Formats: sequence, structure tokens, C-alpha cells
Amino acid sequence: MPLSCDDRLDILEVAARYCRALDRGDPEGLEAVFTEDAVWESSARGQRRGRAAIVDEFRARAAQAHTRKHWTSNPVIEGDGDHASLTLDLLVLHLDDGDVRPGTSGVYEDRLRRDEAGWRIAYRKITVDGQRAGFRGVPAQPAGKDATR
Amino acid sequence: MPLSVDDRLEILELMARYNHCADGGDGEGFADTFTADALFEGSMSSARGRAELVQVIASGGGLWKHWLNSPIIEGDGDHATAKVYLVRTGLGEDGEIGLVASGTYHDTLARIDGEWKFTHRKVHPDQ
Repeated sequence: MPLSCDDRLDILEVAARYCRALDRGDPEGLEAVFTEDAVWESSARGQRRGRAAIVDEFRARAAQAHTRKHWTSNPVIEGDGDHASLTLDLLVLHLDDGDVRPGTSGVYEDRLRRDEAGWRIAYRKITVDGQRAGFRGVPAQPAGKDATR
Repeated sequence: MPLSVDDRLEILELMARYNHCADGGDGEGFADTFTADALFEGSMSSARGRAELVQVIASGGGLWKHWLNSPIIEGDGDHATAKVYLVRTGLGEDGEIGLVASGTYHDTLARIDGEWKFTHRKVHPDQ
């Protein structure tokens, strides 16, 4: 059965809850978005297997709470029945020193599963820009007439 | 017939696919988001039709990301218009991310063979 509008909106909300849990330093909130057997894999930080290991990873970063904002865009959702994939761009805004500036950017590639608890993330892969194969660095140009495609 | 929730979600996803293809250097995928005779008016270049649209991406280099916000979609039946804010970031060789540009897309869309596509996409840069 193709995904319904409800499914798509639920999946977007799971992705949003992940960001909020990270940014607010809320381990219970983070726990709620992953399946128990979830795998989280980052090009910068390696792999964590199981929800408990994933939540521990973020507990260790609790000091960062309220100093980051995970800003996502461009969701593409595909799926069928109780399984879905989500591709989502990520920009981490750094809120240090009363200032806001763009920090890291990357892409999430997720697989989600629905069970009695609803849609949750079973696999999340994070590839930080600049760490993927074929990357060519470019200077961040000042705004100008040739800057918007 | 007014646009359904399905129509609105499909149009939002079309905008997302455009960004993934533009940022990932996928000219064919980028052209797939347009109708065969569509007109694209960027701030650097214009393109009409598939052969030119593919080149818009092939000629682009480096690593950019398009970020959208505040979409407004209106329409009826198989035709729609949209306005959506755009910010573009670039990753420098020093690893720093910079805000490169901002603007608004003005879009005209049509549903062809059951799929929403851009018939006209024009960038209105803020800078």
C-alpha cells in the first residue's frame, strides 16, 4: 500500500522530533524516535548499534544543548506499507556567544519502520559535506549576481 | 478542482528533488523536475527544454546547498503556482560554511501524465 499523506507528515514529524531532542538535550525525546534495534551511522563519528547506544552517544554531548540548531530541508520520502526511506539535508546552526552562524552541513539517509508505536527511525546515516567521495571544496563566495542558481 | 493535500505534498517533494539534483550534480534528474519545453530563469543562466536544462547542472561546480522555507502553493486542477524562499550555502576549502545567496523562486507547475513538474521556474535574487 502506498504511503498516505498522514504517513508522510508523521515521518516529517519524526525527523523534526529528532532535531528538537538533540537541540534541547532531551534523551527521552531522542529515545522515542528510534526503534530498539536502530543503527545510527555518521561519517564523522562512526556507528552506534541499538537505541541505548545511540542515546548514550548524545548524552555524552549534553553540554552542547541549546548551543546548536539542527535545520533540515528538502525531504524526499519513498516507501510502501510499513517501510519508508527519507533523504533530508541538514544544516547545523551554531548559537555560541550570542551569535548564529552556519556550522556543519550534511545529508541524512534514513530507513523508517512502522509498528504499534508508529513510525520510527530504524537506520540513520549521516554524511557530513566534505567527507563524501568526490567532494571538491569551493570558496564560500560573497553574495553576488552569480550566486543563486 | 482545488489542489488536494496529495498535490501539495507532491509539489513540495518536487522542490526537494530539484535541490537534491542541483546540489548533487545530477543534470538528468534536475531536468526531470521540468516539463519537456519548460523555461528556467536563474540568475546566472536561462535554459529552455531538456537539453539546455541538463547543461545548467553539468556546468555548475563545487558544493552548494539549496535550503527552502515558507512555501505558498496555489492552484486548481492540473495547474499550480508557487512561491518559496531560498537560501544557498557553500562549503569553503577551509571547511567553513557560508551563506552565499538568498532569494525567492516563482514557479508555474503543471501535472503531466499524473506527475507535477515545473513549466517555468524563475529565481528572484535578493542581492
